[in-house]
Amino acid sequence: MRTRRGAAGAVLLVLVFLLAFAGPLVSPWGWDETDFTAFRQEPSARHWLGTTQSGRDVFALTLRGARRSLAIGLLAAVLSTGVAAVIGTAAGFAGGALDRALMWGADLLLVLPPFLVVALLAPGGAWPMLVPVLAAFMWMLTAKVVRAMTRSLREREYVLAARFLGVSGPRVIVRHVSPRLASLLAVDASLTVGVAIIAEGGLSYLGLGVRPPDVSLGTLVAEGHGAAATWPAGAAAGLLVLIVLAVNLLGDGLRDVLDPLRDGR
Amino acid sequence: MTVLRVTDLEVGYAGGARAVRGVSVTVGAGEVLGIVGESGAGKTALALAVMGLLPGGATVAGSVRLHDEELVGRSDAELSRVRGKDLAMVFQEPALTPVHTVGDQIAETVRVHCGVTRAAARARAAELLDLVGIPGAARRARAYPHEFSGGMRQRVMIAMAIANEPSVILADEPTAALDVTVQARVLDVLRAAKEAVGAAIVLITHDLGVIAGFADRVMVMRGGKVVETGPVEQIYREPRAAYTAGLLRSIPRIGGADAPRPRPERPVVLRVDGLVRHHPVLKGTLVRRRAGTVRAVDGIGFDVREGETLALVGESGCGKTTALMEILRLSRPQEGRVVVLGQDTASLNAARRKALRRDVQVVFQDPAASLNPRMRVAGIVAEPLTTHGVPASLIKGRVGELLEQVGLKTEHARRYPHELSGGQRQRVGIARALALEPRILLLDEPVAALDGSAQAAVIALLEGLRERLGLTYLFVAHDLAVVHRIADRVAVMHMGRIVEIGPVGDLYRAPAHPYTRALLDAVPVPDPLLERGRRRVLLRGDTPDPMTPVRGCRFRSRCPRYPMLPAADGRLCEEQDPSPGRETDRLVACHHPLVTIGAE
Ligand SMILES: Nc1ncnc2c1ncn2[C@@H]1O[C@H](COP(=O)(O)OP(=O)(O)OP(=O)(O)O)[C@@H](O)[C@H]1O
Ligand code: SF4
Ligand SMILES: [Mg+2]
Repeated sequence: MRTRRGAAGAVLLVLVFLLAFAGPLVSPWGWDETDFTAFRQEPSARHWLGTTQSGRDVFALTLRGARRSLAIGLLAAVLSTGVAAVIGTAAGFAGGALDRALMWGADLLLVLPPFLVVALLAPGGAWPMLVPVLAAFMWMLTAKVVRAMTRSLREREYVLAARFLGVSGPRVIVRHVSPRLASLLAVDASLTVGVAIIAEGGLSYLGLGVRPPDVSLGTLVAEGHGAAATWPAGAAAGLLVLIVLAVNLLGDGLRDVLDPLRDGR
Repeated sequence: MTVLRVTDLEVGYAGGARAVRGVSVTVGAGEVLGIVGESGAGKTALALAVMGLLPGGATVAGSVRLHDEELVGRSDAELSRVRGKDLAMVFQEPALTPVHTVGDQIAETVRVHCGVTRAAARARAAELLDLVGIPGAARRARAYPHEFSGGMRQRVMIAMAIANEPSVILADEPTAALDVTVQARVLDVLRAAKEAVGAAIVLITHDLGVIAGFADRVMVMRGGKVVETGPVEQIYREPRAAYTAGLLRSIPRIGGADAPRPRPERPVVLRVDGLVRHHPVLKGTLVRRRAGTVRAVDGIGFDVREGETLALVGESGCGKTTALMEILRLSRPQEGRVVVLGQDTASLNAARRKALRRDVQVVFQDPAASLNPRMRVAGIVAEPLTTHGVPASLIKGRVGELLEQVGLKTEHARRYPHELSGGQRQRVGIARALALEPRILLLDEPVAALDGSAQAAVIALLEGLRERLGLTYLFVAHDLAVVHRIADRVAVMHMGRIVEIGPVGDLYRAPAHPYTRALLDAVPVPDPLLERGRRRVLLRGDTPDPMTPVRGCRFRSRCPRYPMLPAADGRLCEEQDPSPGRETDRLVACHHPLVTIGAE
C-alpha cells in the first residue's frame, strides 16, 4: 500500500519532467519571446495560459521556471543529503577530535544567518552556483541526526564483529552502517527538494537567485505577489505543489522499501 | 480443592499460528504447578489466554474456570475485575510505570480492588514491600522504578501480585532476565509470598532447575500440546515421555567428580595484566562535567594457555563484556597490559594489528544482533575472507566448508538471518569467527540467548571444534552449569575485579572466596530431592552502585562471612582491599578465604 504511494510519486515526477522538458516542443511560443500584440491576456488558443504584463507566454515561462527549479531543487537536495551523510557518519563513526571539529562547523553554520552569507558570497549570476550555496545551509540538522544514529549503530554487535574481523572503517560504514541510514536519507532528501525550491524563490526575491530575464517557479510566484493577473503565479504555484507532492510520495515509498524494520530486505 | 481448571484450551494467533492446541490442566489451592517447554511451546500463550490478555485478533476456544466461574468469553471489563484481585500475573519484564513511585503503584492495585483509604493503601504498600524483602520499605516506597535494580523491580511486581491475596498467581519466566544470585532471592520471595497469602502459583519457565526446587507438579509442553503432567519427583526420576527425558538430559549439570588435572605445560597465548577500563559518566546538558567513574574493569589479570578454556563468570554488570572488548580492541589499554600470542597490543601498528585479528576472533551473545540483518548467510561468512584478501575463486568453497563445519547445510547460505532459528544463527556467528582459522576465540555468553536443546547442541559444537582445531577459548558466561561443562579453568569476577581463579574442579568443589560460594549456592540443581535438601548461603542486598568507591573489600556489604568475623579480622576487610596477589594457577582475593589454598 505504501509502496503504491511511492510508485504514484515516481509516476507523477516523471510526468512533471515530461511536461517541463517535452512541453516546449509543442508550445507555439518560446519562453524568451514576447508577443507585442498581447499584454496581460487571459488563456486562449493562441496563449494556452495567457500572457504576462510584458507579453510573455505564461505556459512557456512556467515550464522554463519548472526546469530551473527542478534542477536546483533536486541537485541541492542530493548534495545536501550527501554532505549530511558523509559528515554525519564520519563524525559519528570516528568520534574524538574529528567528531568535535565537524560538529563545531555544523553548529557555526546553524547560527550564521544564511541570507546574509549568501548576499556576501553573491553568486556571480550563474544559477548552478545556487546549488552548493543552498546545500551548504541545509545539511547540518540531518548530519546531526545521522551522527547520532551512527554512534548507536557503531556499538551494535554486528558492526563490532565486522571491526574485530579487521574490516576497515570506511568499508564498515558502507556495508553495515549506511544501509540502516538509507531510509532516513531518502525521506530527508525528498523533504529538502521542496525546501530548496522555496528557498531559491526567497533568494531570487531578494535579487540573489535566478536573475531576470531567466525565471524559476520561485520568481514566478514572487512576481505574482500584488500583481493584477493571477495566471502566471497560479500556474507556477500549482506546478510547485505538484513537484513537492511527487517527491514526498516517492521519498515515502523509498523509506518503506529501505526500512530496516521491514524484516530482512 | 481445584481453584483453576483449564479444559481443552485452544489459542490461535492472527497469523494462523495455533499456539495452544487442546490443553487441559488443573491447579489445586495453594499448589505450585510448573510449566516447562522450549521457546515456542505455547507457554506464554496459555498464560495470556487464562488472564484474558491475548492480543487482538487472537482466538480462544475451550474453557478456563476460576472457582467454577467461566472466564473465557467474558468482556475485558468483567475480566479486569478478576485480574489483579483473584488472578495475578508476574511477567518476565517487570511492567512498572516509570512516572509513578513504586509505593503509589502498589497502593493503586490495592485501592482498585478493595475500597480502602489512600493512607491505608499506602501502609499496605509499605508492608508488602517489606514482605518481599526490600530494606527500608517505607522509605523505598517513594522511589521510582528506575532507581531499583532488575531483581528489586521483579520483587515489586510480586508485591503487586499478592497485594489482594489472589488465589492464583501466574508467573511467566519471572527470573529469566536475572542473575542466579538474584534469581535465588526472587524465588525465595515468591515462596514466602505464597505462604503468606496461600495462593496457588503457576510458574512458567524453561529452566528445569528452578522448577525442581519450586513446583509440586510439572506440566511439560511442546508445540502447543501437553507432553505429560505429573508430580515433580516422578517427572524428574521416571519421565514417561521420551521428550521429557531428552529435555532432562540436555541440561548441563554441576557435579560429577572429575579428578584434578594438572595444568598442561603449553605456551601462554593470552596474558592480561592489571587491565583497567574506566568509563567516565557525564552529567548535565549544557556544560558536561564528569560526575563520576564506572570502574567497569579495575585491574584484572589472568593467562590462558594454548588449547585451554578459561571461563569468566560473575553477575551482570561486573565487567565481563568490557574485559573482552578491551582485549579485542588490540590497542593500548587505559592501564595494564594485554599480550596476545606474545605480542603486546600497545606496541602494534595498524598492519600488525590487522594481521593479529586473524588469530583472535569473537562470538557474541545475541546471535540476532551480531549478524547484519540485510546480508545473506553466505555474505556474512565470506566477509572476513574478503577482508583478508582471500581470492574470490576460493571463497565460495571455503564458505561451504565452514557452514558444514558448524553443522549447517549449503542451502542455508542463501538465507537471511531472520530466516534461521536462534541456534542456527549462533552457528553462523561461529562460522564467521572460524573463517580465518583463528587460534583464540573469545565467546561472550554464546549460549545465553538459546534454549535447552539448542544450548546443548552449540556447546557440543564448541567442544568438538576445540578438539579438532586446537582452539583456545576465553568464555564469558553467567551460567555456572554451562561453565562447568566446557571450561578448564574459571575466573570469578566481581565489580571489575577477579576475586578467584582456579581449575573448574577445585573451584566448584571447594570455593575459597565467599562470593564464589554464594554464586554456586544460588544455582538451582535440576533434581527435586537434592534441591530441596540443600543448605545454602544467599547474598544479602544487590550489587552496589559501581560508581561509589568502596574502602576495603568491595564485596563487604554483601559478604556472608564478614559479619561473622571477630572484630579484629573484620577490620582487615574494612581497611584493606584484598589484592589477588601474584598470578598463580589458583588464587583468591579475600583476607579470610573459606579454604586455604595450598602453596604446593
Ligand atoms: N559506555 C559506558 N559508559 C559507562 N558505563 C559503562 C559503559 N559500558 C559499560 N558500562 C558499565 O560498566 C560495567 C560493566 O559492564 P559490562 O557490560 O562489562 O558487564 P557484564 O559483566 O558484561 O554484564 P552482563 O552479564 O550483563 O553482560 C557496568 O556497570 C556497566 O553499566
Ligand atoms: S575480604 Fe572480608 S569482606 Fe571481603 S570477601 Fe573476604 S571475608 Fe568477605
Ligand atoms: Mg555482557
